[in-house]
Amino acid sequence: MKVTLKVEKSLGESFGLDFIEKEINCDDNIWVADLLEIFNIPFTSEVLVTVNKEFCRGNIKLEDGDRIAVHPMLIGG
Amino acid sequence: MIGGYTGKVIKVNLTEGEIKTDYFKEEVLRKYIGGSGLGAKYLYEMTDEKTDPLGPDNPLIFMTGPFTGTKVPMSGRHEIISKSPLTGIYGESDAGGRWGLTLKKAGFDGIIFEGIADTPKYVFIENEKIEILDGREVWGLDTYQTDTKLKEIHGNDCVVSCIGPAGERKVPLAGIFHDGKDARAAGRAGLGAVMGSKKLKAIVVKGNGEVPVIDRDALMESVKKLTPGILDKTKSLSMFGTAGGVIRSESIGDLPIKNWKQGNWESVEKISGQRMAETILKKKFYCGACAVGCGRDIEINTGPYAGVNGSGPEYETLGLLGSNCMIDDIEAVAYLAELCNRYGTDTISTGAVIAFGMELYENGLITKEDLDGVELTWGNARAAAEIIKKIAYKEGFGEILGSGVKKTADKIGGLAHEYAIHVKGLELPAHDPRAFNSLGLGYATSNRGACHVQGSSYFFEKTAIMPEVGINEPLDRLSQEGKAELNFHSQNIMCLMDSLKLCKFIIYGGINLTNIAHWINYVIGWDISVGELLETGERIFNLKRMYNVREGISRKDDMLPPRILSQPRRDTGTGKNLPNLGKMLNEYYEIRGWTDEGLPKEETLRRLGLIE
Repeated sequence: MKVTLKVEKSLGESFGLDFIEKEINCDDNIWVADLLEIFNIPFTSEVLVTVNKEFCRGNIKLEDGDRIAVHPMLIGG
Repeated sequence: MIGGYTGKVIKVNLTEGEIKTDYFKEEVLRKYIGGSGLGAKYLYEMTDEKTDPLGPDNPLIFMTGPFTGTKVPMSGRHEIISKSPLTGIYGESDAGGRWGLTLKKAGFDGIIFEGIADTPKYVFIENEKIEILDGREVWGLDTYQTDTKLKEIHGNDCVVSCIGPAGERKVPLAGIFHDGKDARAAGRAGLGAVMGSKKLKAIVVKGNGEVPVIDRDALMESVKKLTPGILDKTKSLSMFGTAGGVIRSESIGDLPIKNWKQGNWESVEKISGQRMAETILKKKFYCGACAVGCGRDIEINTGPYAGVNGSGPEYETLGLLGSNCMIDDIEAVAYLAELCNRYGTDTISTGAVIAFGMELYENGLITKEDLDGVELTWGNARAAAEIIKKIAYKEGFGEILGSGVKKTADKIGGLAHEYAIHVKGLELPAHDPRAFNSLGLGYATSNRGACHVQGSSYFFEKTAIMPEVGINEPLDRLSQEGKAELNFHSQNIMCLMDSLKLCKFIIYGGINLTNIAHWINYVIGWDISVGELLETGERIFNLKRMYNVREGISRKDDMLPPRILSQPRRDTGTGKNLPNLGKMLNEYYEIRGWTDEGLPKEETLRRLGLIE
């Protein structure tokens, strides 16, 4: 199946990525944490992960055509 | 002709009932910009070390910046400046919302109040018309009620700045509140008490004029180009508000827990922005000219806190009224925050004094009898609510706690000083200097006392960059290296942003000094270099330091609480890290051009044009 991974530019640079958005061929029903691990992106409170623009609260199985976006989780008040 | 300014500041003498208009020279504006910078200049000239913060001679200064009311992103802010009754030194506090931009559209850059009215008053401003009106009808109302009542009188298109019962009673923790139940608070430094001392309940503004902009097309083109990047980088603020950072903050040892004594907290998720989004969130709140919308609008319809409706708790509120008091119920924290907003007290300092009170209570330094029967135990939200009311109405021990942790510790004495977490009398906000070493130096040298936004140096220790000052990648937060230089730059930059009136989160959005210089060119018409911008920020920072030096501030006051200096959190995020303040201070004073005692050298002040 194919999914699209988009990583905010500066965050991507900090993880050593050379892309902002990429279509990825992956195994059926891959878990979101496993997909991110391929790119050394931690599935932790350090990042905000959305799947199809919805907040990804836990480790879920992805489906064909899903759009995953990763943004920095900012601290400030 | 320059853009960005109306060129007029109103001066209202409440003793005499007089209204005058002040005009600026362009050279003054270029040196001090507006907002915090211009306010600091007024305050320096209008007061001295003998000025009583609650007396008639202490001015209360509301200032917008040249970006306020324009299309510059995230510029819907204003600054309030006065001598602080909480700390006795330089005081300022800023707020978002719509009040500042409406004042600007009404035709004024700022408004300065002097004197004391004989009876409660409020001021109504509509498109260059100014009236001092009888405020007795709204005196005694809370901030939400005041907003509602004044909108009934003046129409829903007015915007209200006001105080609550705490400000009326001159409680040193009182703030000034805007936009009704959206509660945009200028909470810090007790400026609500200054407003109350003047018997000034509210300032109501209505305006539909245009702020002059020199090159609108260029500005709009720049805004259009940069906004997608800002939104992409600040997605978490938009999605979960500042509250979205609570979980990450706890994980790195930043969040205050149990009056700054505990490392980790397993309940943190319960008070997070993520939990808020799933439960009580109604919609986002956007300040003027902001597309991010980090504000929260909440509603609680069932359970013990049913009826809470309005501004949702921000990160700072969750840190101080939540984790610092060990209250692990998001609805309870929202309720406590609404009490603070309605009564008109700063949620940071109020949460801090309650946590401090809980530690005093735990250790027997205060008792149930002292508190009129309130059992101020950790996590007790009902007790916290009782204390908030006592603080706001100066009831019993609430009057002492309402003077802040420093003065309360002075009164109790002994071990109370161990539990009093403040710098220069201002309670610490919800970021731990043991998690970000730069914050230790930043809190110690901030001109209004412990403050994270006067330098926002921690932005550059985790996410943000500022290439123009050599910060090309975020610094190591647990290292001491380079933190003096970081604070020098970040404090100067934040002075600049507080004067232009730009939300500091725009730095998270990737905006840099070059972008800001371009916007100044488009809005005001000044061809300004990054070097001049940095020097302007440095000038403003030193002016505030000069104010404090005149009040007797020196190295002896540039300190951190003993708990922060000497007790590691021993958590998973910071381990045993402690900020090495003395070393960082030495480097910092040298970079600033100050003496070893922290006094700006004559040559520094001369270089910055602060003395002849």
